[in-house]
Amino acid sequence: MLKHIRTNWAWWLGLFVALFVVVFPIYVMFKYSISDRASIITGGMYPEPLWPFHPTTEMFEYLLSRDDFTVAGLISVKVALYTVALSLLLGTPAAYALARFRFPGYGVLLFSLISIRLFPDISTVIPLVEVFFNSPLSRLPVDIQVALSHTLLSLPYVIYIAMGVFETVPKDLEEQAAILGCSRLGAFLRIVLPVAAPGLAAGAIYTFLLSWNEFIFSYYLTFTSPEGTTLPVYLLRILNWTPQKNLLAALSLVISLPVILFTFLVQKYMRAGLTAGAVK
Amino acid sequence: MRRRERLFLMLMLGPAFFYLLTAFGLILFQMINLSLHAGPTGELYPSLGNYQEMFSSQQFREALVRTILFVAVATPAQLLAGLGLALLINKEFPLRGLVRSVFLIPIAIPGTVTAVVISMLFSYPFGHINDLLMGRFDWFPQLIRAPINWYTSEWISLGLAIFGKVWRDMPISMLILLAGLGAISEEQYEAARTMGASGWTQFKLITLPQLVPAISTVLVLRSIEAWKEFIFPYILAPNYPILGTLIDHAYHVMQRPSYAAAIALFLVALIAITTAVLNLLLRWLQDALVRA
Amino acid sequence: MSHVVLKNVGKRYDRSPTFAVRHIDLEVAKGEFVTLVGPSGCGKSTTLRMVAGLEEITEGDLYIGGRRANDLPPKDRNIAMVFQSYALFPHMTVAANIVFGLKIKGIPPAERQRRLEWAADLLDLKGLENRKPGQLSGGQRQRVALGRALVLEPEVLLLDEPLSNLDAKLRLKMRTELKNLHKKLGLTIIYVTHDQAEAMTLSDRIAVYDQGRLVQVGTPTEVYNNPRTQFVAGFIGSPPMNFFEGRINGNHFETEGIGVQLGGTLVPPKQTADVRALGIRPEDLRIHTEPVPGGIPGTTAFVELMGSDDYLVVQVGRQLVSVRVPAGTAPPPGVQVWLTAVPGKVYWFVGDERLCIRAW
Repeated sequence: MLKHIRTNWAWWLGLFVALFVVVFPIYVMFKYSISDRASIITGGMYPEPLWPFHPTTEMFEYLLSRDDFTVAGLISVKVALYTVALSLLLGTPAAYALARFRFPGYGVLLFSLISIRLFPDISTVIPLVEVFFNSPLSRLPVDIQVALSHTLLSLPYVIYIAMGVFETVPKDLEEQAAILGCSRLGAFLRIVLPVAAPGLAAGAIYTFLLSWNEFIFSYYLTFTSPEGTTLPVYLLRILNWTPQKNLLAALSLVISLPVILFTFLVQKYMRAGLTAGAVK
Repeated sequence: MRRRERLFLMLMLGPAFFYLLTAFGLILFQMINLSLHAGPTGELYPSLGNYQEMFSSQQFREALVRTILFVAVATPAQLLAGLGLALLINKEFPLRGLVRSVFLIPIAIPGTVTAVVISMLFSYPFGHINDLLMGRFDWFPQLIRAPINWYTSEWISLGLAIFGKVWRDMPISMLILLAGLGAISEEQYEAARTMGASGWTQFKLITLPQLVPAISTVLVLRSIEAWKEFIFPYILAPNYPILGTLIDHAYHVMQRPSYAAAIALFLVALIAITTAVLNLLLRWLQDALVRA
Repeated sequence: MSHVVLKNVGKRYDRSPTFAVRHIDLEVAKGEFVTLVGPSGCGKSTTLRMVAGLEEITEGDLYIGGRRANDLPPKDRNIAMVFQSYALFPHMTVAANIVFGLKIKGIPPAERQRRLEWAADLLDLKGLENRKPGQLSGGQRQRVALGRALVLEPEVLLLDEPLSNLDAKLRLKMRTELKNLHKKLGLTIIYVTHDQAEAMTLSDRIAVYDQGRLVQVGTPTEVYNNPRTQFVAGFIGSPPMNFFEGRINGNHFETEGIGVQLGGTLVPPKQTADVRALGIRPEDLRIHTEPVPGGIPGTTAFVELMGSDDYLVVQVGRQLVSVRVPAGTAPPPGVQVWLTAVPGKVYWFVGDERLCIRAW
């Protein structure tokens, strides 16, 4: 429901300020990423220009020429996709059971989901790496290792989101399927899942964003890995190596671009995912 | 039939909860176990040495105070920022969908990237903010005589970390509050207007009271996330650790996983307790408001 | 021979101390159209769902086609059901919806195709086979749902308020079509509705529910003419029967502070002690402008025009009473009138159970 507040100058000013605060850092990132050397190394003789003197794409070209960058990009994509697949595979059946059935221990399971959200990643990661490094898990490829850890983070959210979706699927459909001869599992696979699929996309997108942006687990599991690392950790590696603004900005932009596009293309699903568990 | 139903439930719930509960059970067990290994190389076991060291450490106490400050500032700031955005957007205007998408961008961008961009804006000695304050742009007066190294000031670097956190997470608060605003029907405002209520009176008497549940949700969820914060202080306030970054410091710099585990466990307990208390407090407050 | 038999069937939900429905005894013969009717929450849908196997039966026995079906899963009961929401699978085409059950049951494709064509022909769905449910009108969806049930060739067809999502005009048309289908295919149908007019026009027999109990089973005429209780009398018939709450005292019936002298067509029952109310249907009332024996005095209030007939509303005490009169013959408002019943159409309700007694 929309409120037709009388438009006034305070509202316009607020909107302008808000847009500026949100957009300016993104603009700065973009501007630096196409900056030439003179635009970032000023020696204090002149201010850094708000638009580069000679816009260039050389930093992007440089990044693409680096093998460790393409490897990091590939790892990030793979980790995100594995995480999405694993989270949906594990999460949707559990969410369905929680949405449709009441059973002894129901409250305990829901409570455990909420409790898990209280664990800070930085606390979880200490014992987690000890477990990973001292077990056969360490022999898995890094992308699998990281995806396994990301699933720990995304799974509770996916379950929340999917529960909400399944609650909107009419029960009649499953009852009809049962009368027509489907087993419970059959009704879930053939009827409920296809009907819920668009809603579950919210869970998939949320999980993809979470994994793509995740830093702490990737950092602890892969910072020194010879196999390579994910893009956010790669950004930190570069930051530790050089403060060169146009390189950092170009890399930042490359990491951000896919997710910025997400916000415009699949905004509806993003909103559903972001507020899962918070809005009834 | 009953047994088949039970089997079906196990099949559906089993994998996810087995995965989550064993992992977090193991993590919690290992966290406790690890934290009981005291001494420089963890040779004393079991021992509360790490905890004794932690509570007597100046660094730890400072980090705790900073963490509390971080939460105490970032949480209400996120509420206000989110409320501002929600009120701005909860209104029909051209390109509303586009503006809402733009307001969602911060949450989509990785925190690492945001922190790096902020660090570039506030770089030392040359950077946009130093350039601005030094009067290097012709359209702005000189306010300082020498460039400021923002990262050697405890308050400024923590402030930047808080700014980054608030900037990145405000879309979530916005969405929760927008949902709350959406639940208030236009008729209520129309009814209020027919009774002659001004804009401010409408906000105070209609919007705010009905937004209390959404506000509570924002406060609880956002405070949890603020306690858990790592990346912004890690990149923007490396010299002034909060608990999260202190854990990393203990692990990576001091090379003492068991000491890191002790702080990690303390942080978990702290979050659990404060969240429970905040929840109770808000519920009590809500009840009090309803009765009032 | 009875095809579906419910013996003392009851349902109590988990963690509920009371039964939602109880003591249901009902026999449905092969080819019979039986309607369960009652206000919402009376247990009629629960009964249907127990027959379908969607609710477990807490007590009693259910037989379908001579087999005890209490513990059979829905798919083994040889039933088909149409839901109020139609429950069409939105991601499947009309054809896929209709043959879904056949596919699950492992019926070969050729036979599936044959039955699909049969159903499309029967239900006028030709040309819609490749549409999705979202592209169909309400009436078409209804027919797809019916088709999906009929191709299973069920022993019993269960219909749960199938017409209530249609607009009034379409509902009447589908009512006729359903009746036709029942005749043509010799189906055994158990039908649930809250609409008594639907129940009356469609059914061979109707079963009236009140608060979890089956109050009366009978043909529409039986139930209409000889309701078992005041509830049934009030529920069946439109506009509903007029009730006068009151007691018999000597040779007077006292209602609304008025003493009506018994006599004329107002014949008292044999035992007068337990009488709680008197009921007369609008069409069984006659208007007199002079006092008559057994006449209930009142004042004309207004007229409701219903097309072929008018309903004159008469105020008796504080109560409004409708009387059917031929169109255009109603007296003007504010006239003193006396109401009498048609001979033999006087219903007395006695005891706490409000059992109905007709007197003549």
